[in-house]
Amino acid sequence: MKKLFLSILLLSMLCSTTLLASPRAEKEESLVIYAYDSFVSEWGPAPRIIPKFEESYGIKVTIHSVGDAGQVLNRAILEAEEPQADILVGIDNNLLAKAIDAGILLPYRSPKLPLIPEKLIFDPSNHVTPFDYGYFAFVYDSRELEQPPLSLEDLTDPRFKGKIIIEDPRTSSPGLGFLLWTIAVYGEDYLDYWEKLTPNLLTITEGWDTAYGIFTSGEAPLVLSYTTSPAYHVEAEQTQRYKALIFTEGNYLQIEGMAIVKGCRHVSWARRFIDFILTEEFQEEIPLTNWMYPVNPNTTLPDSFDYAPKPDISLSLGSEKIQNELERWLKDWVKLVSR
Amino acid sequence: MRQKGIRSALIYLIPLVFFTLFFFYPLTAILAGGITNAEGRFSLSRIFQMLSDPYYTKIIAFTLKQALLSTLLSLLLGLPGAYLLARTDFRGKNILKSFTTIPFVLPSILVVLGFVRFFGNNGVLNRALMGLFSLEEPPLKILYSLKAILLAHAFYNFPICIRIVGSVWRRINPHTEEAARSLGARGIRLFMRIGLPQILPGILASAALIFVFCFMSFAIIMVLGGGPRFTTLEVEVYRQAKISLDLNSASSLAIIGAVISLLMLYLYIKFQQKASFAETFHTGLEKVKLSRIMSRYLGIPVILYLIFVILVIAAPMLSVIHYSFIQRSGWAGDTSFTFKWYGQVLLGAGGKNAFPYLRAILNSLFFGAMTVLFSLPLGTSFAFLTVRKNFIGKHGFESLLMLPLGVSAIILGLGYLKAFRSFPLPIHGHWYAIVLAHTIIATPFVIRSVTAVMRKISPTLKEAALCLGANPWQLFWRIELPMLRPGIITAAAFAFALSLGEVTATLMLTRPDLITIPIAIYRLIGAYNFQAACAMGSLLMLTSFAAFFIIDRLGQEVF
Repeated sequence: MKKLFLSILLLSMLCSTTLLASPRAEKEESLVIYAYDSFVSEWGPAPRIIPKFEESYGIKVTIHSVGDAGQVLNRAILEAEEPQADILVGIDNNLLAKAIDAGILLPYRSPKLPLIPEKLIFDPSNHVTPFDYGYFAFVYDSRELEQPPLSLEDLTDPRFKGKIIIEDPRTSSPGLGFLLWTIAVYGEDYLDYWEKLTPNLLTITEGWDTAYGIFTSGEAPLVLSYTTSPAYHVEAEQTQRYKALIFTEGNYLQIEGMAIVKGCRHVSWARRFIDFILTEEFQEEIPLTNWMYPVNPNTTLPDSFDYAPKPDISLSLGSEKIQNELERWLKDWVKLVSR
Repeated sequence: MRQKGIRSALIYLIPLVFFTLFFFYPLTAILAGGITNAEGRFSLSRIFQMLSDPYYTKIIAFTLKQALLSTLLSLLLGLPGAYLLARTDFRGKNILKSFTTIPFVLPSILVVLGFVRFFGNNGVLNRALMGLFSLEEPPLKILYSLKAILLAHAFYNFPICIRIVGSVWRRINPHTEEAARSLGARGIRLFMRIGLPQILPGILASAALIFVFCFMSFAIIMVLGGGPRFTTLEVEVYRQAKISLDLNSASSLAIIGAVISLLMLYLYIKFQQKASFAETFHTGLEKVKLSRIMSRYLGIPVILYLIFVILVIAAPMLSVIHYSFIQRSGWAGDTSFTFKWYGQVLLGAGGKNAFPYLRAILNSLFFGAMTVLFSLPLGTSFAFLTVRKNFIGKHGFESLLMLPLGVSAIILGLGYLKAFRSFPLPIHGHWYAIVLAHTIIATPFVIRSVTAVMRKISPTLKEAALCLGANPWQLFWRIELPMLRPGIITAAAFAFALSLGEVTATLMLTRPDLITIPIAIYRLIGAYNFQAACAMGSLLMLTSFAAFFIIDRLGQEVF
């Protein structure tokens, strides 16, 4: 029996060597990109756009998944003295001030920037170049809810008691987006709004994953997600059951961008990549892999995006203001919602 | 004599160096930020500020409270199971044993999903009751409350108690009990006076582990608790590290959490040593056939217990498996049965975006095996060090060894980045980095499992063997290791489980061809594909079940 044990041990060591025969980290120089995990995922943009870039520009790319957008920035800040990455993916309009203050970005104004509408260029100093955008929205189950809410104010109506799932702004990007949304609409009176809203909340989850998971499991008919969520269901399930809501006060805007790292090793390659992300070649892959809108208005959207409504009013708070006030807002919010 | 000294010193030195290099060094690298002020000099001001802020003290108090309550519940649920495991025999025992260890492997998103799909307001249980009794409103609103948190924690953790206490129970001296019985002790009194003290070290060892897990719990508390009312320290660490991007504050909070965990662990460990007494033990503890017990008055509670266990454990898991066979289609989004998600994840069938995750399964198994391979010797040698030797600050040292479980994986990941930045060791994107991280996380488990059993071994046995001419190696392989067998099997099973289920650290260190099953699950969910994620989850459950079964079997035959 000891032989059996030893032979299993040997077998597993042999298996390990076959796994090691897999392609090792490239020794040759390549453009190094840090991105959030869903960007790098097999289902995300990376597997489609990286080959396109490599072919068009003849530059090899190595992309690393670093967790989420906050982690990307964290890591770049930690590596500030000896930057390992050339490009950072995922700096959005909420993280902008933090990123610029950290002094780790190299501004670059791409010659292709005029392709993008003015209002989407959220960084006038060109440290960060936008590549996609989206709107937070409440998505509802049309099979369970016949009279959906039409505004933020409407959400506080008692008929929605225990019917709303949202995410925590302290741990989730949509959660933060919603908090900022209420501040954009109500200003410093946002806490009064939350006081009315809280009884209607079923639960506040740690992230979008769980929120959407329990929403689609029928726990509650309303969830905080994106305007593009219905497009997924149309595309993959051919169902229009789940619909997104445009509120009369407007929806909160999120613009995502990429940036070049200051002091990186391949500045000219990085610049080529920033040019690339504004072209249709890159932009056309965004809708069905990142479930966001491409910033380049010439990009054709898939049919399923007809079911992703566009808000008339887009709201956002300035990045500086967010950086200054966020701690206070979060603390006050937690105090209120914990009662 | 000197040679022996050097050899044994080396045996203890290597694990120490390993642990220091790959855990304490990165940890201090990142936590240093928590004890510096704006000028970068040593200062505890931020920590004091946090400790005097009622916002944080409330959070710390709740974190402690839910951890203690969860631990208590897990122990209460686990003890009967431990008894059944150690002292009885019945058909399907091994299957039940492997089955109850599966929840431990599941990523928290699937635990939450499974719980909600079964116990939720629109879950299987409520819908069944509503249908049965024609009710309008769901009758059992268990979720989104403190009891939901405790229940989910118990689901996750009571297998720890079952296994560790079970392994200690298998090594007790049955003659003590027989003697007590012949002197007239019965039932509860017998258990409280004889049985309980004998297994107390096992109870405390599992309590320490369960406490630390619940202390660090995150997603389960937030979703199943229902809101920020039930905030824990870990949530705030996440907030600082991920949203506010204030690593120094995150580190300060992590330090506070680590110190509190350390204090509690120290208490547990100290009591574990106090409660341990060596016995002349029995390797072949006679097991009673369960059918015999069933026919006596104990039969009913046993059946109820088994039903309860199966309900609490199986129900959420089955809900997840069930979701993997569902697809939505048509205008109203009606659901129907399908195998297509399995086709998708295993073969990459269907659709241009399909991607096979067979590689992920192989990778997970590989990392699991390697983690067991590394953490068993590492943990066992630490166990020997802390049990056999005596030195100042021993308990403190033992508590420090438990720290990998008491530190947020995010913090540790950041620590690796900071510490190994300019180090010649390339950490990121290599398989051994992942094995390293998993080993570090699994080692506290191994240490607890092994010490629980080790303290019961009387040193006179060792001396007897030496007297009879055994050399140290023979002593180790032929005498000590077989005596430790149940503890080591438990350790191996959990090390494998921890590796299989680990996601945070792995995500930080991975590269495309190194993805594991939990990463695949999170990626599928991120792509809206919950059903395929559940399919991967089912495959994870299947593979871990098979692995536990094999480990248990192997353990029984090897030694």
